Amino acid sequence: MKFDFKELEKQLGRVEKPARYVGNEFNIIRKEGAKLKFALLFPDVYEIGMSHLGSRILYNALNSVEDIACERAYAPWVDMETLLREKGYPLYSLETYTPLGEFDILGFSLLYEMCYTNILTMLELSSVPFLSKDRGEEDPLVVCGGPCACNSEPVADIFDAVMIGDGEELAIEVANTVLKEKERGAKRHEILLALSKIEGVYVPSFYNPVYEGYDLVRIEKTQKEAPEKPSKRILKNLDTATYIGKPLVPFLPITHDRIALELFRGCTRGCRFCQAGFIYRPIRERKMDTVMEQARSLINCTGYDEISLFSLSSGDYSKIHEIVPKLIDEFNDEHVSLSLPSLRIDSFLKDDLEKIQSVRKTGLTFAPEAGTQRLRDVINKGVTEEDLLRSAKDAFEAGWNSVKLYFMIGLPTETDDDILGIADLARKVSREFYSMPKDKRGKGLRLVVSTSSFVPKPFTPFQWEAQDSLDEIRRKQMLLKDALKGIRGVEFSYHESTISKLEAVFARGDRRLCAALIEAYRLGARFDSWDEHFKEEAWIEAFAKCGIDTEYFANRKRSTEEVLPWSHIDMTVTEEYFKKELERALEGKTTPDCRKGCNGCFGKKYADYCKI
Amino acid sequence: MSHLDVQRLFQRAMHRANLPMAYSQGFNPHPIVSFATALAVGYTSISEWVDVKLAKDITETEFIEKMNSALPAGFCVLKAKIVENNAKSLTAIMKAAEYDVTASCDIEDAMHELLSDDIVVTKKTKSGMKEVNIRPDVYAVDAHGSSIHITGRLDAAGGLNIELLMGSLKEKMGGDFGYTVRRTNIIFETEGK
Ligand code: SF4
Repeated sequence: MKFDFKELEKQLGRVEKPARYVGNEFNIIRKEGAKLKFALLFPDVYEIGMSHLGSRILYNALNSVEDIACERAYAPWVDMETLLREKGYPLYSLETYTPLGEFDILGFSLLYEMCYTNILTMLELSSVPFLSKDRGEEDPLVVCGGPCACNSEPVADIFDAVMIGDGEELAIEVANTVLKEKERGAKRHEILLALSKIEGVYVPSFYNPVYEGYDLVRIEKTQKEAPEKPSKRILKNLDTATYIGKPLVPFLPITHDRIALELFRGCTRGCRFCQAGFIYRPIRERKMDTVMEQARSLINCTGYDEISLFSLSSGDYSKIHEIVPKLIDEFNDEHVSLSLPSLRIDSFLKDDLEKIQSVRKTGLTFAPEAGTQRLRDVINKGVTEEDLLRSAKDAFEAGWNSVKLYFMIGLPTETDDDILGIADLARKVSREFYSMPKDKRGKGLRLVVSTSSFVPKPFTPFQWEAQDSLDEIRRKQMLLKDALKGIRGVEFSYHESTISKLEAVFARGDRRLCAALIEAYRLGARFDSWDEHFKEEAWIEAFAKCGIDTEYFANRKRSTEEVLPWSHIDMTVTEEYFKKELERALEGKTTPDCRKGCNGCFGKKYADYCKI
Repeated sequence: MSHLDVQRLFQRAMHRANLPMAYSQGFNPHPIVSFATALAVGYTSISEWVDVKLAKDITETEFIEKMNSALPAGFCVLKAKIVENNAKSLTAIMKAAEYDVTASCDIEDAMHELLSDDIVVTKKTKSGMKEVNIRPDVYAVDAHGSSIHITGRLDAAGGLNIELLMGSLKEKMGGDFGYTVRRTNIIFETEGK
């Protein structure tokens, strides 16, 4: 279909925030005459997609290759979806207003399970069949990457190929391979075969799950040449890798509207609930000089006035106490402020707090995750009550009066004492503030206690554990709400538990879920992570129609002998290690940070991958 | 884009252009950049004016060149003029503005008819709804079919609200139609400049 953006543009006054759909951002890359068109797609709204660091890295990496033109599209908000459908317009790229169906590759970033229905919206608006098996030679290849790629089974029937692990080299290799194969006239199947040989690529159609009764019993490889266990891709050196180049500067305020500096990738702490902490291993740091150079050039080419340090726990950076003052000095005259989003309470010093304050005072978040020392030991969160209280005191003395405490509800072995422990901790923090002399502390305390429901994730020691039932989660939320009453300055915030359950189903689900996903989409499910859009009835109906037992996926404790839907994927950290860690967890034994000594998580095959 | 978005865009462009920006004093220092007036969301414009304070003197040409290398497509500095530090702000000396309105149907006759009498609209004010005559705010109108060129009051206290004017027109015509608005000029008091 011929698509004229100018015609659509006239209608954009009808939708909320038209700037989401017009592109033209400063530093946009438009390439003429590239041989391969790669659409980088984010299945959520523009402001969130534009804030995703990984997509920005890929946009720069792919466009750095002469033959490849990488363009973007985001999920259209519901008003835009209606407009496109009404007028019969396709979803298009923001760079050249090309309908997505005309691209060679559609690459989705999958950051969280609750965006899956938006993938379907984007495919449907591009007239691309949902299922890999229904696509013909003329259709684009549909691929994905991002953290959800480590268990892509619930969406495996949709994707022709899945990219697992670090994307900057991998995406280029995939694009180049597709180009080479197309140029020699290869058919779709041959292209997939060639892709399956790249380290980091998983072609789901080459593997077939076998069920007995309701249980998954094995995963059969159906293509001789495909690898036994597709494994994740690891980028070895961050200093020589491309970063975000000259990043786009949006017209609209976006969720993370600032320069993000990635200090390192990976994490050594080994919190047992944290998927990111395991799937991004091993830890790889960027040199301080590289980071400083990047900071300078990024500020110059964007004009931003804020920098944030972006890593799993920035405070663990080996030179954190050198780089913070260095950044502040470098940009002080330009009034560029510095924020540290993912702070660890035990790695942060008062001096740094004072310096940050001299630039800008944003809210401070501490994440003890659990209310008692016993449970913190179970989840291996190496933070003590003393750590927290001391850090809170330091922050209050430095003039902060807004602090957020983050916890999870429903962790393995949790009892009511652990829930009440959260309230105890909040009370102690509150007292810490009010015991300071009036003239020393800030005005009123704002202490937000924020909880989310624990979602067991693949490739963590808790991958076999059950999620609490909805009733149990709600009961615990109310128990905590009551216990928090009367504590000065406290506000309680918690999340809708139904969404967490859905997340748990999809996080550890298998291929049978795809039918339910499509059904829920047909029934109107969209933007499921947005409370105001979440359609519980659609999901209940879809699961019932497709015979999906959601408790089986979310609320059942699995045996460590079971075949897991992701058993055929190699994420470097071994299953034996996860089993050992689960045992230690249940015994309440902690495992030290591996910067203090290797714990052997990689096993023999990858033993030399980790340079710590 | 909202007014705030435009302001931020301009500030970022100044930062990229490496201009010696001056900052306000106080807890959260920000660059001293202030548009004469906001533009309603959805309107386009070919003439906006902005006061900018720099920490160091530079020539007008240098300012124009540097800004234009740093502004995104669709934005461009056409003119710049150095003023005394104590000069009145643009907002304080602004008098009127001109607009081109393009409607999806012929509105020429209806517009003339509307202007032949008072135009009373209900405005939301702090003390509730209030009836006001906006006819005196309309200084001149030049209508041809579906296009009209309007000059109306615009000063620090407020001015002609095109939305209200078009609303009254729709009421008069007894029908709905679409239209686009572009600001084409802002007029300032020039004596003693
Ligand atoms: S291999 Fe050893 S040091 Fe490296 S991440 Fe695993 S446990 Fe830590």
